[in-house]
Amino acid sequence: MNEGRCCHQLEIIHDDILRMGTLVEEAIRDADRALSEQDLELAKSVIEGDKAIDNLERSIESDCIRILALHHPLASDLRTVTTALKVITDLERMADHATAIALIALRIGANPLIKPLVDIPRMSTLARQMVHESLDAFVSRNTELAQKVRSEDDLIDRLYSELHDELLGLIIQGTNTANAEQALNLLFVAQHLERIADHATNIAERVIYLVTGERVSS
Amino acid sequence: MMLPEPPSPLSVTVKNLTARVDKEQQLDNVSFEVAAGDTLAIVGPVNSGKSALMWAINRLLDEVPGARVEGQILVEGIDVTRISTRSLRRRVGLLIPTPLARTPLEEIGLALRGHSSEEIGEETERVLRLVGLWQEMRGRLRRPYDATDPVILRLMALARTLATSPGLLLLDDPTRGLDSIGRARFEDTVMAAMAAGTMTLIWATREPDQAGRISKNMAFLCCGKIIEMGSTESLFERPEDPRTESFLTGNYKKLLSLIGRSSSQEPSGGTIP
Repeated sequence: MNEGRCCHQLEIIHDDILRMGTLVEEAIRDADRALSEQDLELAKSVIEGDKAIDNLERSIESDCIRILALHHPLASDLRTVTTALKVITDLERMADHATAIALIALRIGANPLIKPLVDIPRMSTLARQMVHESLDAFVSRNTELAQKVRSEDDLIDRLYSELHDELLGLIIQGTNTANAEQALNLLFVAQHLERIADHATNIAERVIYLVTGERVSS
Repeated sequence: MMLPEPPSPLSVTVKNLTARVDKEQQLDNVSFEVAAGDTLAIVGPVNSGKSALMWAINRLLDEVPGARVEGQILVEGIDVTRISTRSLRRRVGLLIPTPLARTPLEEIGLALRGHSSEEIGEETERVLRLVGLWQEMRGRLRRPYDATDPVILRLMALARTLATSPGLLLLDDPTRGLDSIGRARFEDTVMAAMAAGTMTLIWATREPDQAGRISKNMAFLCCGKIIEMGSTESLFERPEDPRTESFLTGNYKKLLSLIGRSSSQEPSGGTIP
């Protein structure tokens, strides 16, 4: 943890990132539930909630800029501020993907699902776990946990690829346009989840930089 | 032995340099190298040994009563103790930020004792142009200049130091007490003088951000020891030693505890006048 001159301001940023992370995790969970339970009200509340996340991102960004301008942070302070700037961008993008999933839930509406959702909730659970772990790694400066998130990204990619093939099959073989459209929408959902997992991986990589000063990328 | 004449920049090698003044240790086994024409920033808190190091390199430290210097300083591979102090100090210039004379011509003349007044006149124009004072001083070379202006004073001292065409320039916290504009003017002036490639520069500073502006490489000096050395960028981004980390982040309590002093203890102030 930082102990230098910027300590207090960095703690505020740290806490705000955790608040933002909690909101993003909730958004992903609710978007997923809105989709699988066809809960349109919940989908609307996810879309509505995106504003609060955007506002928090702007406020944290302002705090980071203020520290850079006023304190010229160096060493671990510098790494903390630059990491914060990157992490909030990843969190904000995750929230956008959750919103996109909620919009798809609204688009599918009350129409019966073409198949029971199995793989999508699996992907969603793993993506949420990665988000949670990446934030945990950030809080506890835990590089081992960060490495775990990086390895989980391969699993997500595999799930996505399987789901992609399956849904593509449904689209190609299907004779029913409505089913094809729904399969396409579910493919988009899978893609959004895959992107969320990518952003969690980015955060994990920033945690490694934060702790070691080594920049890693997948 | 003689050092190469201008315009050659001079390399410096410091080996296991240890210095004491009376019983107080100023430098503790300091070693580093600066290649000819390169710049090294020595960054360290007050009382870290920056002045002692600068004074040791041009052998002024030898003249401080009670001073004992061990180890070796090589300039262009030549041990500085084998060079007469007069010729050493002509090629290894240490900026002393005090007025030594009243007029610009006298200031520059002091650095060029033994030269004709014509030579001194020519050199005065050259160095005052170099430090950006020529325009405002050209008609008043024989009149007292304003040594109460801290920026003018430092630039005049820089001109005096450059008058012997040093191949190694030593700056000991030269912008101490200047405002940001004065600091920028001084830094720009030195950088412009360095552009000719005829000097090696060692710049000691207590301000890390200054090191970031003036040098690609830095050494962190603390308690007379070089704690860490490397590219300024890498030390700023990921210092390895907790002492460097606490200095750079301004965590003075941790730094004082790491170097074994309590935070109630005020720095005693350097023993070098």
